[in-house]
Amino acid sequence: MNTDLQLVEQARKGNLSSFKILVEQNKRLVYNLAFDLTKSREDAEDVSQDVFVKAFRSLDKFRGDSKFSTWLYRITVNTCLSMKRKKSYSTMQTEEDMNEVIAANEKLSVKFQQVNPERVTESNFIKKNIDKAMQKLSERERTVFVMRNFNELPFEEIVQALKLKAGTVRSLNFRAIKKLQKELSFYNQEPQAEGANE
Amino acid sequence: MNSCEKCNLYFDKALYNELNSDEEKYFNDHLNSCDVCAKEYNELKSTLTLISENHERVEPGDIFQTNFWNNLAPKLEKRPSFIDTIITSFNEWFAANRSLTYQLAGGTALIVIGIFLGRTFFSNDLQVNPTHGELSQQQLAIQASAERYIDRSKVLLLGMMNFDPETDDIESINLEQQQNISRELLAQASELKSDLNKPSTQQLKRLINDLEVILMQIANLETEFDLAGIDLIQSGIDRKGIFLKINIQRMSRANSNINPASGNQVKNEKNSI
Repeated sequence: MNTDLQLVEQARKGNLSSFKILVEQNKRLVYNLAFDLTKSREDAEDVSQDVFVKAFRSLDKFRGDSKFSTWLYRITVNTCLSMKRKKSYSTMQTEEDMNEVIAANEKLSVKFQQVNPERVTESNFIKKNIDKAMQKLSERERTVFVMRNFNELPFEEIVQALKLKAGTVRSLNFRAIKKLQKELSFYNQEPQAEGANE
Repeated sequence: MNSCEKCNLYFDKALYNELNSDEEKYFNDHLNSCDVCAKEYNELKSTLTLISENHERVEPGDIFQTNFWNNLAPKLEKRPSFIDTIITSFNEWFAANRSLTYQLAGGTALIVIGIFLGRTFFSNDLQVNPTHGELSQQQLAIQASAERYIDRSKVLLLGMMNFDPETDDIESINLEQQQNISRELLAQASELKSDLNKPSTQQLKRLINDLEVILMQIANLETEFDLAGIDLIQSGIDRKGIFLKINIQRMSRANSNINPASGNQVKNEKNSI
C-alpha cells in the first residue's frame, strides 16, 4: 500500500489518481476543521476545495517532515483566516450576523428538534452562548482551541501544523479555556446556587 | 513557588490526563486539601465538558460526499501565468472597448511626443547652476543615500512578497533578521526625510514615507504565526504600488543620469557613492 509520501511523489509527477486518493482520505478532516473555524457549511465546503487546490499547486513545498494531513491542517487554518479577513468576519461580525449563522445551522437540525423540542431549545441557548464566548477569543486562541478540543489533535500535531513552539500552543489553549470559563461562568455557578437554596 | 502555584501549573496537563504518576499524586493531594484550587480546576473542567458536549458539526452536503473530486479536478489544471492572465484580460477588454483603446493610445502618443519635445528644446533649465555647485553636491549625496535606502528596502519587500504564508514555512523568511533590518531602515528614514526638503525631492520623500509605513508593519510583526500581519503587509505593498513607485523613481533617476546637460551630476554622484 502506498504511503502518503509515495502518493505525494506520484502526484508531483502529475499522477492525478494518486492525488485523488489523498483527497478522499483527507477531505473530511479538512471539512471538519474548516467548519469548526468558520461555523458555516457552505464556507467549510468552499475552504475544503480551496485547500486541495492550494495543496496540489504547492506539492513541491511538502517535504514530508510531518504527516500530509498535518500539512493540510496548516493550509486549512490559513485559508480560513484568509477567508475571514476577506469577509471581515472577525471584526465586522455583529451579534445579528452571529444569530443568522446560528439560525441557518438550526434549520439544518429541524428533524432533531421535532424529536425533543424542550431539550433542543435549552441546548440551542447554550450553544449560542458558547459561540458568543468563542468569538471573544483571539484568532490564535480560537484556532488552537478548536484543533485541540473539537478535532482532538494532539498538541504535537498542532505544533507542527501551526509552526509554533510547544509552550506557545499549550498556553494559547489554556488561555482560551480560562477565557471561556470566565465567559460561561454562569453555567458553573447555577448548580451551586441551587444547592445553597436547598 | 507555593503549592497552589505549582498545582496551577499542572491544570493544563491534568485537563488532558497527561500528568505522570508523581505529578498526579501531588496534584490530587493538593486538590483534596485546597478548596480554592479544587474549585478553580473543577470549573475549568466543567467548562471544557460543557463545550465538548454541546459541540455540533453540520454534516457536509451530498455533493461534498459524491462530487467532491469531480468539482475539484478541473481546478487542478495548470494555472495560467501572470502574463497570460494580463494578455487575456487585455484582449477581452480590447474587444469590448475598441474605440476607447484607440483614443487612449492616441492620447498617450501625444503625451510622449510632448515629453520628447520638452526635453529636447527646454533641457537647459535642468543644468546645474555652477554658482550652486557645492549645494548640488550635497543634495546629490543625500539623493544617493536615499537610493541606497530604497534598494535595501526593495530587497526586503521582495522577500516578503515572495513568501506564501499559506504553504511556506515561517522560518524561510527569517523574520527576525527582516525585522532587524526594518528597524535599522526606520531609524534612517526620519534622518533622510528631514534632508529631502527640496521641491525636486518630494516624490522621493513620499516614496520613503510609504516604505516607512510598510517597514513599521514588518518591525511590529509577531515573530511567529502572525500570518494575518504578513498578509496585511503584502496587500499593503500591492495596494500602494510600492514596486511601481520604486521603478518610476529609478527610471527618472536613470533619465537624469543620461541627460547630457547634467553630466556633472552623474560624475558627482559616482564620486559620492
